Amino acid sequence: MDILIKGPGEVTVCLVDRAGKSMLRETLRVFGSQTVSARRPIELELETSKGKMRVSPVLVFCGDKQTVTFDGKEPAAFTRHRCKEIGCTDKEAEAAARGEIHHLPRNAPVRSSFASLPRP
Amino acid sequence: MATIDLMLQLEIEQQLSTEVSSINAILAEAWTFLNGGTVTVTEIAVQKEGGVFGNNVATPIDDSPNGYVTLRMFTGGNNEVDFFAPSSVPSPPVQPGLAALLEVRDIGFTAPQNVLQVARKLGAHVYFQET
Repeated sequence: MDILIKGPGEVTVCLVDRAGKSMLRETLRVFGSQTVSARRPIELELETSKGKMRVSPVLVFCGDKQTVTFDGKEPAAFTRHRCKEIGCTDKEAEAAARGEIHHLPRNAPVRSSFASLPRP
Repeated sequence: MATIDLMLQLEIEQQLSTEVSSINAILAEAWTFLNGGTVTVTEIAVQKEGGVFGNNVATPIDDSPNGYVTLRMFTGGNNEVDFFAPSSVPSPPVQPGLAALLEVRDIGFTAPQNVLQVARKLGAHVYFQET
């Protein structure tokens, strides 16, 4: 599947299993002109010790100036369809379409935002 | 004709569950369209943090310490000129510059069991001028 990003900023996508558990988390940051675009091809099947696992992409975060598509489709619609295809319940598929999933634990320090910087 | 300073930056930050035993290679691209002028690449660079680790082992087993970055400058038809990172001296001019595509790659791994941990960040940038 192709993740296509138009516009500068940051996009986070997770691949979730049928229980909505995140197996992979990727953040793509792209910067340049206002018309910059990016593409990230990604496999929707992961190899585990128990065999192949079918997964669904979930758009977790997207910058204000960006548009994202999954294989040319609107991300929520693609996620809803794919989640049902891999065996998620309707409730889980709807939650994933809204970007609500069980995240991987963060193992890196969180970056400061401008708003969080202490003022003199 | 005026000189336009341009930039392309792309970063991929990846974290995988330890249940995954096969780590796919990374390929990501960022591009911008140009005006058909003469293009000079002034800097192209790549950096990487983290990598693929064995389970409970702090040292990366990754044998791709920097990833691999190419700037593909499309000049019409099937013609392109490629520039490889790193370089911080001006390139020979390329004309006509129609589109610039920054391609970032990193290798994949396969293990017979779920013994791999992945936390890697790969970033690349290119600065160039179009006249």
